[in-house]
Formats: sequence, structure tokens, C-alpha cells
Amino acid sequence: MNHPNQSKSVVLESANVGTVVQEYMDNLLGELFPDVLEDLEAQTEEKMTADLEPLSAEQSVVTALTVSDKHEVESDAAVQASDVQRSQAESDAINAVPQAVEAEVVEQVTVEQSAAAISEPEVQLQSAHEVEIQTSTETTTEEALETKTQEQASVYKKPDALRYPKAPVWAQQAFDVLLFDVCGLKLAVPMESLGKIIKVDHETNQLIGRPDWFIGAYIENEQHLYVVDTAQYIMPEKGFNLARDGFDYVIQLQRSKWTLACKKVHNTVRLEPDQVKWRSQQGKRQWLSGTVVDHMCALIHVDSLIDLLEAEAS
Amino acid sequence: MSTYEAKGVAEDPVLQWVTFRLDNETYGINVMQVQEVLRYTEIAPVPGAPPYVLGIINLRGNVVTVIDTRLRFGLSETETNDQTRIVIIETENQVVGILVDAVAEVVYLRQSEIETTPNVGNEETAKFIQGVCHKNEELLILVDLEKMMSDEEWAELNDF
Repeated sequence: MNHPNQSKSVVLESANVGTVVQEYMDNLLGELFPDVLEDLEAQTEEKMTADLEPLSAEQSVVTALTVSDKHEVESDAAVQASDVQRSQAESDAINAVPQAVEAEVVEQVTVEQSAAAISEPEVQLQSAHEVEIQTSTETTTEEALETKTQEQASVYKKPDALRYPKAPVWAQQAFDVLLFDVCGLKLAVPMESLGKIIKVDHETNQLIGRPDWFIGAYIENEQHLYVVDTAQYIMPEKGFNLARDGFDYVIQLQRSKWTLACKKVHNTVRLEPDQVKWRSQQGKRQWLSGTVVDHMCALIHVDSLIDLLEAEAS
Repeated sequence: MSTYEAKGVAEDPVLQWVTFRLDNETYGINVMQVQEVLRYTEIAPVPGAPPYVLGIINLRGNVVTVIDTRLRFGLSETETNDQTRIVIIETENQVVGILVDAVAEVVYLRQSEIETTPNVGNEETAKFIQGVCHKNEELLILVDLEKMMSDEEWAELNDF
């Protein structure tokens, strides 16, 4: 039976190990990508200010919308009751439509809040205008409202598509990546761009006169794939050598002949586009799509990496 | 042979390659350039010769220069054994021997089966490789003997 103090020390020790690992990863990522830490701080500040400002604006718009809609709906219903002398059931039905409209509007506002679009105040004004038209006509059916809502939704989706201009088209929405480890650096390759993960079970053929990062040719299913020493290619200054130290997996990029050697393959994770600090492809590390601070990893831009390798090979 | 078949053969000729081993890899050279294959024999060193020249042998009264293929390919040295062979090759105007770990077989390859390799790196050695081919579940690396040495080096060999 463990002594209570002993278990406490184990907990403390594991906490210390966690801290040490975290610090190590921070240092490693900071050393490899010095801009990440600065970017992270800047990103956090931006996010805080962005989260605060639109929210206060949205809240005022929501309040205004709700108040004005109710007023419109009530006055219209009163006019109808006195002029047309409809039955109580009919007036209830009429009242039900504006309530549904109001519910729709609140839903839209909620969706837009989560999307946090920059041009939200304009969108809100437009929706308020449309609600007024709909409530005044009072002939709009629920089907028409749904159609309208869908149209509005499609209109609102367009600005979302441009939210991450540095990100590829497929990364505008949540996407899956495979995490793998290269000499302590965690890399992520989008599943979208992944060819195959091959467990290395035989020797790689060495081709003479190739640079150090070119390990050789690996035969898989009667075709040969070229194996890149991932560590030497992306961080040559670190002095790692996978050909010497060994590697257990090669990851095929798209369906190309190029594969990345790595020691360990982790799991797949789903990333939201805003989890990635997207990079411009104009910089010196064109193979790097961006960095994912949540997972302390670098996201590989597979197409650019293939282009780089092909360019070096031509 | 039909006209169609003849045309196909002309467009995609079948070439024969003599394969040899160096380190863990299998290389191939065009059979038309191979004169003969000799068991390892004593190689007489030549003073003042460049490092890639192992020395000379007497081949039926003719002096033939033997090239250190391992050194030329940037591979580490190894001891000779029963499998070691000297492949006598004939290039444009020269007859030289290349020392290899072992000679394996003669394979037939269609031109279309040969793939070019990525021309990465700036090393001269990379130019030795003419292409690669997947044959008998292994990778065959085809060597362009003409490019194994520069024109100056070929000329230098004439002096031995």
C-alpha cells in the first residue's frame, strides 16, 4: 500500500514532468519557429479584442431587433383584429407566424455570433429590414420563411469562405490531420493530402551522389518511392540523420513518388481553421502551412513540399 | 513478325544489362559495353595515379587500368573475396576494368521500363545513374559508364 505522501510526490512529479515536457516543446517550437510565440501572443490579443468588440455591438443589435419586431407584430395583429373581425383562432395563427419569424431572427443572430463575421452590423441591418417586410405583409408562409432563411444562410456563407485567405480551400472548414514525430518535432500532414502510411519492413535502396536528405528508394507494391529524411530536409542545422538513426514509417505525399521518413506516427486529430496560425507561402519555409499551437506541431503544406522536391529534382 | 510488332519493338527496344553488386545495391551496365568478366586477380598499383585508379592488370598481354568503383561511387572500402570480379568494359576508345563486389546476371529490360531518377543534389556522382528499374522485386540502378568519369579523366587513363 502506498503511503499518502508517496502518492502525493508521484502526482507532483508527474505534474513536474508535464511542465518540463511543455517547456521543452515550447522551447523547441520557439527555436524552430521563432515567430510562433510572438504570433501566439499577438493572436491571443487579437482574439480577445475581436471577441469583445463585436459581442457588445451584436448584443445591442439583438436587443433592438427584438424590441422593434415585437412592436411591429403586436400593432399589425391589433389592426387586423379590429378591421377584419377574424376569429380568435385565426388571430392566434397570425400571431404564431411573427413569433416564428422572431425565433428565426434570433437563431440567425446566434449563428452569426458564433461565426464572428467582421461585417456583422451590416448583415444585421439587412435581416432587420427583411423581417419588417415579412411581418407587414403577414401572408408569408413558414415554407417561404424557410426558403428565405436558406437564401440568407447561403449569402452569409460567402464571407466565411474568405475568412482564411492563407488557408487552402479544403481548410476553410474543419479538417483532419495525421500527427507524426520527427526527432522530437511534431508534424501534421492533412489527411486530404495523405497518400499512404507505410511501415518500413525492408531496406531502402541508396542512390549514389544524392544529398543527405535523400535517403533513397523504397520499393512498395512493385513501385519505388523516394524517401526524404524529413529531419534533414526541414531542419538541417540540427544534425539529425534518419538514415543513420533509423526510421519506422514513410508517409507518402499525395500519390507522388515522394515520402517523408519518420520514427513515430501518432493519431489523427480534427482541426478547426482558426486553430492554425496560417503562414504565407511566400516565405522561406514554403513547405509550412502554419503552426498549430494547441498540438505544438507544424502543419505541412503538402503541395508546396512536393513542388519544392520536384524543383530540386529537376 | 508483323509490321505492327516490328514498329512496337522499334519504339520500345529491349536492352540487355549486366548486373553487378556494390554494397547492398544492384547496378546494371549495358551489355554492349562489357567485354568480359574476370575473377579477381592481383592488381599492380601505379605510382602517382589518381586515387580512383587501383592499378593495372595484364589481360592477355594488354595492360588494362582498373578503376576503384567503390571510391568512385562514394562508397566505403571493403575486402575482396571469392565473389569479387573485374568487369572489363569498353567505352568510346578505352578499355578499362571496374572492380565490383559480385556479378549477378544479364537481364532484359524494355526501354519503357526504365525510369529516370530525381536529379537532386549537385554531386557529380549523381550523374552516373542513367535510370532505375524495378526488376525481380528489387531496384536495379542503371549506370551510364560514359559519365563515370570526365573527359579529362578518361584522357588521363590513356597515360597508364
